[in-house]
Amino acid sequence: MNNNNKPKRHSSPLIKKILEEIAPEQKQRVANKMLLAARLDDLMQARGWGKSQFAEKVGRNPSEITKWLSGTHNFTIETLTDISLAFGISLSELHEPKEVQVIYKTHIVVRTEYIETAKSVTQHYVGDGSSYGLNFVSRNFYNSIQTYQS
Amino acid sequence: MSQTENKDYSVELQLKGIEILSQSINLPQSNDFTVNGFTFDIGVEIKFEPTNKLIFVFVNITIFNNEEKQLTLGSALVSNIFLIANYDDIIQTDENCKITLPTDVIILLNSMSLSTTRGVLFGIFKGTFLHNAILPIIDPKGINTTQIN
Repeated sequence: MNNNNKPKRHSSPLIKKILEEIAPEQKQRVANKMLLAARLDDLMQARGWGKSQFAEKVGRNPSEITKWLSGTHNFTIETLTDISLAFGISLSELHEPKEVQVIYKTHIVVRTEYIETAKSVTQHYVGDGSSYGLNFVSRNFYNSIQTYQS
Repeated sequence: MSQTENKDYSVELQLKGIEILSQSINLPQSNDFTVNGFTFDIGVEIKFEPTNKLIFVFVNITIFNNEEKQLTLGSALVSNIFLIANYDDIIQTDENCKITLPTDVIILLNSMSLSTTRGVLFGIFKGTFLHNAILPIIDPKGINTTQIN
């Protein structure tokens, strides 16, 4: 029995011919609609909104949201404005998400010092027998911390 | 007339996640290698992701054997992800969409991120020769809080 359920890329001269007949501007329109639908879905997920919650925010029917998310809806500027207001973002952000901004950057150097004489990390600690065969690499205590900043 | 307003606010922060982006341990091969202490080179970077209103605090730590930074003993890059619930009260955005955080929030983020990273480092280095390389307590108010223009 064949259990291979992986999708296969199908190509045929007929499909190729149909695809070639689609104008580039038409392809771009479809791509933009799909991107917008995906963006709406991302924004809903980021806010933890379901379809009905989003529909309530924009004053629409949940079935209308389903159509918006299908990537086939031709949005008007009025609808896009309502959506951007519901999400609390600008109209341009609705299409293109804002980039991550670096707000702050700093660099610090901190030094810790031992209080005891340093011991080799390869030299095992020889105890008085009370450690039941455990070997201690070193005993470390810190006595000073210095901080430098640039 | 300009007026400076001392606005009282409370920050509602939520730690959404901790991610260890990279880590390394480098045991020097030399037998006469001794540890007299550790030098921690710490880089802190705060990034804001506007879509999900998340704040990423990246803490990049490199541990050296001495002040001259001759030997790299270990390193870790930890991302601390925060969500500010009362985002609109805390984050200021100017006309160029430039985001500014209040200094107190920067101090708070630095403090929490360094503490979290201290725990993460201990977890990473536990049982290794860096077991005692515990990131020291750093006064967050002593750290430069100047934001990027």
